[in-house]
Amino acid sequence: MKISALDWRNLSALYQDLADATLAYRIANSKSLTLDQKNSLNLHFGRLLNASESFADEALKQAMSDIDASVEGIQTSVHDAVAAIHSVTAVKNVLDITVAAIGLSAAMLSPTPGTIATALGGLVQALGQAQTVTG
Amino acid sequence: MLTARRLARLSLSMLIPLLTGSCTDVIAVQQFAQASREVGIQFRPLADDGLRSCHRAATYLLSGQAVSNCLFFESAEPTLLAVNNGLFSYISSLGRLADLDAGKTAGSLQNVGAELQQADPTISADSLRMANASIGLASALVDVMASRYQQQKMVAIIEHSNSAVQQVAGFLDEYAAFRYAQQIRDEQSRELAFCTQWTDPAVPGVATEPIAVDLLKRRCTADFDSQAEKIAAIQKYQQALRDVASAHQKLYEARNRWNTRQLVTDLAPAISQISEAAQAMKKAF
Repeated sequence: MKISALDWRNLSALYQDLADATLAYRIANSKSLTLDQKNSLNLHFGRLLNASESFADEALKQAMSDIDASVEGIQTSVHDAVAAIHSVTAVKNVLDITVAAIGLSAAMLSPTPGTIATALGGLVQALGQAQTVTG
Repeated sequence: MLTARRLARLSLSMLIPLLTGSCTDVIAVQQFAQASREVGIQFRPLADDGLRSCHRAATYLLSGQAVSNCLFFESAEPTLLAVNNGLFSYISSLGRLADLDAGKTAGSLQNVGAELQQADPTISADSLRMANASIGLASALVDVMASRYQQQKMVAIIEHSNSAVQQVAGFLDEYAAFRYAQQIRDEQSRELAFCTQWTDPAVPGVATEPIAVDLLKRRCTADFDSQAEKIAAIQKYQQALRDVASAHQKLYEARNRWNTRQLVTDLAPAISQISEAAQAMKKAF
């Protein structure tokens, strides 16, 4: 499956939203988070933004490489991740979601068979765990 | 909602062509072109600030965060400027306002494809096709300048160039402007994260530097507002591109049956919005 320029654009915007949601979580919970947790969130925030920028560059480049995953499914998962960050309260779940999203972005930018499916599975699993806790 | 002043301005812009007889169709096009020209000129400051924004964002990195890749902006900017210049020079030429150094534009656009491929060897055929449409605009530009702006010739040029105008406007909106807006927003987010960290009393050292923290807070607030203004201006540039494409499409669709009243009515909202975009870009960049 080819990722079109529009898909890269949408993914870039979603990752930027995810980064902003992570930052908003860090700001909203500033009093309760430990320094280590704040530093972890800062790190993940930076990586999500870097991924967003790389996706935006890919949109410009119109990369033609085929990858073995459904773009629509990926977009839905990342969209769910943004929503989850806004709703979950446990810092472990927020960290799990952001780490999984970072893994997915790395897999997409250097696609090899199986890695995207694995990374996407990690994100879905993190989302599932967060939903179980908050649901 | 339109203000009384805007309504009056719009009414005037519609009234003048209606009173001036046989040249009114051309005047409507001229007004559209004049407004577009201002937007075209403001693209360079916008693009220049995209690269600067990338470098500014690097100054807000927190421990462990990686530096963004700013090289793409440097390599892509000359081509994007040439494409923008081509589009708006063409539109300007429709209204006898082709003073965006048209000769240079035509020359620089001859290398658009090669330059884009050099900047990005993996660029797709679709992207290349859209950028190459600029070359068609440059040819049309030369035609317009030689045509003495006769309406008949203008109709033929609009007919010939409409497809290229749509493609180039779409390219600038969806590729260039999107990336620049994304960059300013990234800078905004990174600075917010930086300010949050270094004004947080729980972070070692912050509590002992009240004056520095206060100054940082003030700077962050001011910068945030400035960045928001830039993002809004880029969005207006994107809307202006859509307005230009839409207005040109209307000219194209009505090319063999231009009706003064209808033409002026159709173009007036676009002219007003494009003018506002130019003002917003000038103010922000």
